[in-house]
Amino acid sequence: MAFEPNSWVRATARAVAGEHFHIEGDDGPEVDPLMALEALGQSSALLMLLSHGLDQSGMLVSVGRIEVMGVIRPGQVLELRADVVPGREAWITAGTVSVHGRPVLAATDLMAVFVHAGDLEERASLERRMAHIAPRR
Amino acid sequence: MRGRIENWLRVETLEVEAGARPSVPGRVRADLELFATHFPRRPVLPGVLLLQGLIDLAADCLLETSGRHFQLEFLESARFRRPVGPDAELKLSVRIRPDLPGTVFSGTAEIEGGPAATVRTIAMRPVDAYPRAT
Repeated sequence: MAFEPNSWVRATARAVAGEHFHIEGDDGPEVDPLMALEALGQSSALLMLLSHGLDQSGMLVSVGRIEVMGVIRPGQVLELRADVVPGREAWITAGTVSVHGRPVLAATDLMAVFVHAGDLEERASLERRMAHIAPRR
Repeated sequence: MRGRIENWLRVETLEVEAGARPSVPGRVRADLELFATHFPRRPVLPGVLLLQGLIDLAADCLLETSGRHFQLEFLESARFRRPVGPDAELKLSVRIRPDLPGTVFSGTAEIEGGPAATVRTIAMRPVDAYPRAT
């Protein structure tokens, strides 16, 4: 994971179908592209957490546009690129999700409002999670 | 596809009538594992699952009427207006948009008190139209 506070984040995530994101495609199992959207949103929220000393997280309030551009297979590595524009009460994310450099999803105008991170999760739990995700922050 | 909705929603009935607005009323399962992490102190159903429910409902309608499998092509203007928590009564509904070419729907997820999410444009395309890279 690489990032510039309040600006951009690049991360990877392994696509897992699970019970919520499984699709039985014509030529084998697929992962719902909405899982890629969730991963993109989470990477953006992680960026905001890291940019604000783990004090500010967020909740998604609107989606401008998402476009599905390809199929995701279980086990593939998602390459996440999110660019953010922070405001006083919310931030806007635009980003892409690729597999082996091939875009599978593009999103624009994902708006999330800032929420005090402590209202969502205990600080100690959050710090443990961050130590795993971004150990050299 | 409706089977996936039932992973997180206890569906009561699927209401589909010719010319009507297809809808799925149900209750959000309170025992979902995802509530432990989303979020530990304030469990909220992820907005992407509401979107997925609406997309799946649109896909079901297209399958019933055309016999073909459809998936999302693009989606525009989604708004999340009220958080949906465990045990919430929820009604998903979609409506075909005759004002636009192609297979395009709008959608609403309603809970007690009003809309939880609205989507202005859900554009679907046949599954076999997708690039099939490995």
